[in-house]
Parts: sequence; C-alpha cells; structure tokens
Amino acid sequence: MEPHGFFTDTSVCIGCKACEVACKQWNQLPADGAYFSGRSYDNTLHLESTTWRHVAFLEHSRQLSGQTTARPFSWLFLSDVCKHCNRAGCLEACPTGALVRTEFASVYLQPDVCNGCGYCVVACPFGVINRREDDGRAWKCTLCYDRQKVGLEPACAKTCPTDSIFFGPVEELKVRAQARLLELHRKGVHEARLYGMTELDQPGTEGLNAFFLLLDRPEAYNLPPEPRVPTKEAGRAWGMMGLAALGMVAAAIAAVRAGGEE
Amino acid sequence: MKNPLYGQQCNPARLEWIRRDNPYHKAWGDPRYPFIATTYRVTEHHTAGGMSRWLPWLNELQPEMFVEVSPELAGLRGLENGGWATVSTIRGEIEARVLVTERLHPLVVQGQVLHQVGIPYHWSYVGRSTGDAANELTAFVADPNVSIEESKAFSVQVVAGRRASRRRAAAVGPLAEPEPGQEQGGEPSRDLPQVQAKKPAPHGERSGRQQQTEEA
Repeated sequence: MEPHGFFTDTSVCIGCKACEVACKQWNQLPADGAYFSGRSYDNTLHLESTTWRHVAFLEHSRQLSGQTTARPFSWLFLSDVCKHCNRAGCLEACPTGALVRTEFASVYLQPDVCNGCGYCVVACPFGVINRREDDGRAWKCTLCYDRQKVGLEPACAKTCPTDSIFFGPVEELKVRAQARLLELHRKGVHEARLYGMTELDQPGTEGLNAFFLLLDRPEAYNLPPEPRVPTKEAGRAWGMMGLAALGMVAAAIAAVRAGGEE
Repeated sequence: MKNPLYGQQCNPARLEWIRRDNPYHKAWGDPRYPFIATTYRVTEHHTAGGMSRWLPWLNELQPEMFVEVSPELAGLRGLENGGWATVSTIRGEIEARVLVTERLHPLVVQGQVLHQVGIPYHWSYVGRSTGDAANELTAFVADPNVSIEESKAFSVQVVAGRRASRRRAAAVGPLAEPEPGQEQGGEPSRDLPQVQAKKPAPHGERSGRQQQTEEA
C-alpha cells in the first residue's frame, strides 16, 4: 500500500469540532470531563490519550494578509492530530514493539502489546501521545487503521463538512496542498505556509504523513517551529559521550603520568 | 439609543403580553440596562441544548453557560476571564462564565460607546451540563406575523460574580424600580402607548394589528 495521510487545510476550517466528536465516537473514547477554559471556544486545550483530534481556537491581535477586520485581529482554527511522522520518535522509543509502522505508513499503537512504560510520551516532539490514567497504557490516533483496512477514510476526514481534513495517498495530498498554497498566495494570503509536508520543510521529523496548511507562523498555532525527534540526536549524543569518555581517559592517564614524574 | 432616521422606535404591529409578572424595560436608552446583548448558537449544541446537553462528548467541548464580553467591558465591570458574571434584565437574571474576547468590541454610535454582550442560548436546568437559560432575559415581544419572539437584540446589565438567588420577575416582581417619572406619564417603556391602552385580547395579548382591525 502507498502511504496515506491527512492534509489539514486550516484556511477552510470553520471550527465546528465535528472531527473531534466523530473521532471520539468511532474510537469510543470517553469525554475528558467538563472544564471551562476561558480560552476562546477551546475547552479541551490539547491532544490527549482520549482526545485524538483537537480543534484549537487561537485569537491573536494580529492582522493577517488577505483578511479584513476592523482592528488587527485574527481568529485561527486548527484541527490538530497525530502527525504520523516519517521518523517517529514514539516508535523509535518504544521498547516493547507496541508502536509499529503500518502498511499505510501510519504509526499504529497496539494496545495489547503496550506495557505503559511511557517512553513514547517524552519522545514525541509534538506532545501527541499520552498515557491514560485509568489503564496506564499509551493511546493515540490510529489514523483509523480499522477503517482504512476496509477501504473507508478516517472518521474525522469523513465528517469534515468543508474538507479541511483531506485524507488520501500522501503524494496526491502534496499536489493538492501545493495547489492550494499557490491559490492562497495568489489571493494575497502571503503568510500561508505548509507545515511539515516534506523532509526539506521539517528535517527533524523527515516530513509528516499528516501535514498542515497554516495561515500564520507555527508558533501562532502552538506548533513547534522546528520539531526534532529525540532519537535523531542519539548518534550525536553517543559520539559526544564517546568523546567525553576519551577525554576522561586521557585526563586520567595525564594525571597518573604527571603524578609519576614528581 | 434612539433611531435617528425614524420617529417611531418600536414596531407598531408587535405583539406584547402586558401583565404584572411580565415587565418590560425601556426598549432604548434605559440607564439601568446600559449594555446591548444578543443571543446566538454555538456549534456544539442543538436548539436550546435539550438534546445535546446529554452527550458528554459535546459537553466537554462547551461545558458551561458563558457570556462573551470585550476586554473593554470586562475592565469596566471588573469581569475576569473564566470567572462569573450575572446578567440581568427587568425580567430575570442569569449567571454565566465570562469569556473575554477581542471578537467583541465596543461600538461607537452617534459618539456614544456601546458595549456588547454575546449570550449563547443552549443551557437550562436539565441535562448533564446545566446552566442558566438566556431566555430568562429576553423580553416577551413577538413579531406580528408568526409570533416569533424577539431575542436577538435587547439591553442588559452585567455585574461581576454569581447571582445570589434565581430572581424572576414572574415570582418577585420587576427586578428594578421604575425609572423616576416613568409611571407618572413620563416617557413610556416603548412607544405607541395607545396599543397598551386597549383592552387585552382573550390570551392577554395586544397588538397594533388587532387595534387596527378593531378600529376598522
């Protein structure tokens, strides 16, 4: 199977949160409890072990190009999701093999294998994966592996009324995203940009299978501008450790030699 | 604030239910109710929320009744984002969480600053997520054709903090004293007072249209 993923076009998101509810319904995830955040219409605030799609509402006192408002102001929506990175920190950190790469190139967590160690939680540069307090295991978006197996698109993409969440083969999504970006730039929306579409855009994750079109800097959406999968640093870290060890040995030998000369 | 383009301020064909337990405050320029309010839906709930408030997946998305105010109005009335506010009209008062947002901002009309209050109307006393109902505030004024209640534009008072009790004009009488001079033939709460002077119809309703048919 060729890689499949999401292209989430925030420029047509209307903030209806249908994806969030459809995801919870299909995957039978519990509600996280009622908490009034006071942060725009966003009361779930972030992705969680029981919230695999999350719609962020972001209000900034900033005029974006292509918008006409009475005063400098932008209200941005972003339907956030697991990015299914090509170089996935969670997958590389998993000691049990519970996290696997599926035939659709998505990163799938097998709950029956997961032992709840939590290494993946700290290895994700986006803070997507988390453990459920009630059963201890880690949970995250499966890219609706069960639906994909029978030829259906994921629940969030299926329900999205504006096709802000577009599901398909990643190569087709890239073409679509480029076309959309060009169209927006032509219409004067100069801040529009693609987030994590290719390895060039985002070397720290080697590109995302669920990438985004943003209307502002990634920071405005609470997305890391330059995420790096921690295991990418492993080689350098081991190298530095080797250097440090060599240095220690050299210092010890030097100290013994210097002591011997006295 | 008066309509500068036209002398008649209120729809002369409107339906009103003038009873002791259903008071009206002034439709414009009432100093007791200085802020303009409007009601609207949020996407998470359906109609008044009677069905959708039972669903935890929706309740976590909009967990509590809230009112939206501008930072300017919040500063003016000492409202805190995420805190409580009590919104009142002469008919009733409700408490709600405060959502301070720049999406609302004061309007300047004829040199006068008008603050807006946004009120979603999806909460009431049943369901898994309960809260005060926006319809406690709205005036019983209906359009002449199909008697749809006017609930999109009215004026309110906002104070910080929770309400002490659920005061309702229907139970305790009008929630504010009459304006000085208003009862002694001063400026009426709505114009076209001759409509109000007519005898009530069987259901206690009066309208300019009825009056016209009676005169004809």
